[in-house]
Amino acid sequence: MKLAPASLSLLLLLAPAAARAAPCDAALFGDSVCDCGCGTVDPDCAQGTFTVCERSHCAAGQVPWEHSPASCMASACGDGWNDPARGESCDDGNALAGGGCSATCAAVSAGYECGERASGCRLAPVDAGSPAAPDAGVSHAQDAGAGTDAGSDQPAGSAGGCAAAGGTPLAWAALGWMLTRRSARSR
Amino acid sequence: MTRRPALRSLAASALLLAASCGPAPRPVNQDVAFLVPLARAGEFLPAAAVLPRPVFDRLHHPLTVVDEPDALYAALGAVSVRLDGCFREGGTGGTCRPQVRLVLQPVMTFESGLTTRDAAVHVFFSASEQEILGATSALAALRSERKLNLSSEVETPHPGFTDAEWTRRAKEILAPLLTASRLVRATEMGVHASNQAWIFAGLDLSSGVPADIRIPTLGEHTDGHVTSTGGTERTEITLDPFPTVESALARWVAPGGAAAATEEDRRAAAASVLRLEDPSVHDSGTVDCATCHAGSTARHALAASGTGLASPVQVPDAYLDTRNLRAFGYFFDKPSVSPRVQREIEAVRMDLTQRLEKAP
Repeated sequence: MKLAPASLSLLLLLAPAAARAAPCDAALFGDSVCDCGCGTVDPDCAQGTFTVCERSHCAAGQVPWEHSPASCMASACGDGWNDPARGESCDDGNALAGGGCSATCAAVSAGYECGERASGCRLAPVDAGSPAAPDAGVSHAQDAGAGTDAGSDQPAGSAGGCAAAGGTPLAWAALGWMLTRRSARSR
Repeated sequence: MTRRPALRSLAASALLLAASCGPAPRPVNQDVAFLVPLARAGEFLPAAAVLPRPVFDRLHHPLTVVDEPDALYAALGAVSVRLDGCFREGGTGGTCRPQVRLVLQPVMTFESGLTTRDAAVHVFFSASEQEILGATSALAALRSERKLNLSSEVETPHPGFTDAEWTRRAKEILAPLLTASRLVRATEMGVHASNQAWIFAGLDLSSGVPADIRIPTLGEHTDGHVTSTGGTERTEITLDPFPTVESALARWVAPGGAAAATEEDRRAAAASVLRLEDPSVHDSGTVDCATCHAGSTARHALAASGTGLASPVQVPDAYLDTRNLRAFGYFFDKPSVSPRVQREIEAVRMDLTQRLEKAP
């Protein structure tokens, strides 16, 4: 059930930090971040895509499936979930070269930066003071993800992941990736 | 309208073959349904020839999330072909619809060789009874003329694909029945990157206009979702929405289901599997796709659990992997013809034989 924004804000203000960090806190649904757990799916998660949730209830090395969110399955290159536990440096939602991440998800492509979890990849902003583009094969996952998901107190893919709100920029990046795929499909 | 020329072409082929070889032989199973070798799937009946790109694009979900649509469409080819003189939905009271059906899978080359993505599009083409009978006769006669030794088994690719002449003429027999105007249904089985989750959905086409398939027994839902995470170690399958038909099977295969099951539960699940395998009991109008596919997947585990599952057909070892939901195609590079499809093919072959004997 999606909470009205006002009710949600009140709940977040009143709830102690420990309570907000509890797994499957339904009060976090409707906070603009896609969360999985509790046997249901957050209305903030885009339907009809394979993008996994920002925070999941699944064990390490597993990801939830938004089409059947209570189910956890092995994470894999191309599922859109950057999972260092299985050797991924990036995951742009496919197993093809290009798009920011190599075909095996082992290396970030030159000129891109890729974030943690479901944040996908994007062109790295041009830095006037540093003309050299990032080298192919160098992972920027840690840099891109740092500081953008302050509410997460668990490593990617770990159990009990419904932590406090955060990671909104990552969610926007994931949304951008989804729109790119939809655009490609609609050609 | 292309049916009349197609009918003339088929009739001419059958007559020519009959004139040169005597009476057309009785059809065997591989005359009415056959697997295409992976190496020939791309050239025999590629997606570009049998699945219009707009229909492919209209499918609700990507077949895979790991491929770009253009690459996926280019890799799609027919891996199996079926003729059916009377496809019914909803039991014996359903309308009899003669059809040709193809299963298309993405066939790709990896380091290990030629293989498939574990996804498929199933396309249904409308035909008349005479056209199906003509195609059956023509394929049986061609097989006889080319002196192909077909077994009654359908679990291996058709040996005719080693004969360039058979391949060319078989394609000529089938192609007129596979035009875009005849396409009446396209169903999909899309796979998650993990190869542990799938979506079943599809479209019915009326005069080229697509509409979502209403999946029986799933209420308002137009998608069926399956996860299978047990590999070869255990059976751990979820069906979502939970089926209202043959739900004893869905309960048994669910994570922890077998361990918690009583002997009565186990027998109920086995009875579900046997009903799902029987084409005279279930069809695509009486049970949802996901439950039907899961029946074959659960079979080995149910048999191993001690419940007797006598069946008139072989259950391929490819189904020892509980991720194998294939019905008539390839599980990666392993041919997979489910017990249900084996029985369907046998029933269709017998039906077509009787119809041919009655035909003037």
